Amino acid sequence: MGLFELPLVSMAVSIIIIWALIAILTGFVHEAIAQWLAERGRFMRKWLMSQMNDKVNGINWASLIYLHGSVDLLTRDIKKPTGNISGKLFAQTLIEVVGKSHAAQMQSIEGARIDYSSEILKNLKHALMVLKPSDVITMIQQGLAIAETKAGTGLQREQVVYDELVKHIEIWFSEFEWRMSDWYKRKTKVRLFMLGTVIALALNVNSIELFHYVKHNAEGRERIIEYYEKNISQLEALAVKSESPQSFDILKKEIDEQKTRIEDLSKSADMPVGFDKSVFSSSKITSIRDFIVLIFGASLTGFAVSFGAPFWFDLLRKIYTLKKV
Amino acid sequence: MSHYNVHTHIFTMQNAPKDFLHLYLPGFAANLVDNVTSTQAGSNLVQGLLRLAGNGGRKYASFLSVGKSAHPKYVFNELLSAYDNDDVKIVALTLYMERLGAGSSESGYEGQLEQVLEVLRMHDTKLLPFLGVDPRWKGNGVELCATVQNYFNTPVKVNEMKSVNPFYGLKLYPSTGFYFFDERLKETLTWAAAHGVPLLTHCSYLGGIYNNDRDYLLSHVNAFNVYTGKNHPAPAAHHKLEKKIFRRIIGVQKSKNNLYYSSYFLEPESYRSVLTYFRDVVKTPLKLCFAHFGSDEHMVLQGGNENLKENLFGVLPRENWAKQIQNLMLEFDTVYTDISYSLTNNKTHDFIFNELNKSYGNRILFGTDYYMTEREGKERDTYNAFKAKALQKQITLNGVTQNAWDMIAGTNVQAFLKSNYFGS
Repeated sequence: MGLFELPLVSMAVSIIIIWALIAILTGFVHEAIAQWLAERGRFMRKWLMSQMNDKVNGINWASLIYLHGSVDLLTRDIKKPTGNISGKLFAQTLIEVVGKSHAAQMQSIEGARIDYSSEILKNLKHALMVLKPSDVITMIQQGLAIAETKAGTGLQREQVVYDELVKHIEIWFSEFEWRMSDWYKRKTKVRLFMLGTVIALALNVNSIELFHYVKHNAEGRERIIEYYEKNISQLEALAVKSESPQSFDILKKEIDEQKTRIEDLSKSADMPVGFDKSVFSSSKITSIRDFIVLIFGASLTGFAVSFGAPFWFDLLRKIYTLKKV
Repeated sequence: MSHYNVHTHIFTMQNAPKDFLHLYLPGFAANLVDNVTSTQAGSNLVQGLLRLAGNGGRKYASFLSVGKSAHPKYVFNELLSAYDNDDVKIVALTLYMERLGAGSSESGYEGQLEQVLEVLRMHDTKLLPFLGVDPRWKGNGVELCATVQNYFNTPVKVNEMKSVNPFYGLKLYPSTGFYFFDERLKETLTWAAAHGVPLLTHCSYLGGIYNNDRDYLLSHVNAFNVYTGKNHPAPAAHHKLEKKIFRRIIGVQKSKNNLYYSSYFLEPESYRSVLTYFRDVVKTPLKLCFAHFGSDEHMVLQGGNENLKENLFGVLPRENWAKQIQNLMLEFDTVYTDISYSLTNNKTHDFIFNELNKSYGNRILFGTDYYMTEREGKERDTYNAFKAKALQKQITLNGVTQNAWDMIAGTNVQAFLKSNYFGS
């Protein structure tokens, strides 16, 4: 008997598949809420404001970036800042706001000569010379120094300097975005747990009841595993999509479709899952024990969901790799 | 004729220190309001709840809505929309709030200035920013003065064809923790006097922003006055810490006592030595406006010749601040006052129009204190109501007759603003 034919293993795989499906649904619902609250945009602004807060020079450069027309025009509402600032836009705007700042313009260095004909580069170079060396200023100074070295003395020197400097800042910004994405995932874990628990209660995805179901229902387990094997690519794509920012209309559509998939699978596998089987539609609670089991079971589902759909599909992929071996 | 609103604010909560709301609410409430109002949904919820609390709640909802704007340019646009087709030029006062004992601001003070100058670029014919000055901003008086001069003397480029002056006056807010006679302000005041640069200082009894650091207050309220050669006689003998049980329970007693201590920094009498010095020794008087005419409460008391019910927190505890300002205006012919915030109390209007008939009537200025006044009423309503009344009043001063509106919002403000940076 192969490992995968062991009931315990197929039970575990079935539960993981159910958790993964609920995690996709929870992910989409969470993204819809985040979209409505413009949370990604606010999260980005919060962290940019934190990182670009130049206490040495008394200026928060991020606040000036958000004020700049190029970025402000991307915002749909003053309380819903955009979360879609490209690295290039960020870099170009930062270069401009630093160079144009009054704090820099009002200072001069006697005898200083700046060999740029481009006003943007002239202003920036001047600003970097007169402003105090904070983290932000140092980062830009480093970028300019590297850009000037790469540009050499050719005819297109100033264009090359500018392009290289923008690239340097873009690299910083993409590393920042990657870290921010990580911080965002950590922040949303608790929320996913709470949302996952609520959805589990609404659709009766009680992990304790499910353990019981998969233990005593070999045919059900087969149907679940078969469903997964038939739809691997689609489900993995949905898992990634469930954690990506999208328009509200698309998210609404995905939520409806995912709900339908879960309900259809529940019917075909005769699972105790669905709104009609939840505590909101039927009197499931007849004792305190039932209540405790329900809450604990739903919380367990919520906990599983908080890992995110990609985590469970990754695990399934690893399990199936073992299976092939 | 151009008309002016000499007293407005366009800073947002981003420019205020992180614990700003703790100055006015118990800690837990301040944190809750701050967090919840970060989102539009939360802001709408809080405003909705506040509106249920009646008139007072509605007004706080309005104030919160403006203050939580993302940027001063939105606040300024909101302000401009209040004046319909009137040609009103607006003085916006920046404010150094980094040393209130409430943490530092998200934007930074220089960041606040950059934001206001960006608004100036967009509205160069409407906006007249004042530079907030605090002796603690820079390391010493010389550095402070050099910084102020740099800010004033570097034009702001509006477009390829046009540059404008960035600032038109200086704003002071002593209740944040300093005296006007602070030695570190001397160089800046000397420069301001020499160039005719107007100064506008907050002066409302127990109103506005204050320093919330008890240790700081206790060590600075008795500061040395370089102009008199003596320590300022504060706190007064009658000053006692307040101890109210309810305030202790909800966690606002400490802040209340700090507010009372901060009052000494604001008292009009504390300015006398400096005004005397510049008039009699330097021979170049300072042009100084005491905002709010001491407060609406004191204006009504003074107008009704009523006595104070209790001692004030100040070195002249039995003299209301409207009276102190009147005395200073009589004594110094470059002392002004404005009616901002106070004018939202209709009971002050008769007093204001009477004052315009006095010898210093040409030194009373129109201002509203937007958006602080959103707690009392909408800017449009405040402006229109006062303007309608003022247009009905004719004032004759020094042989010139004009309606009170043209005087208080026109010629008086123009004279106040006149300097090497404006109207010359």
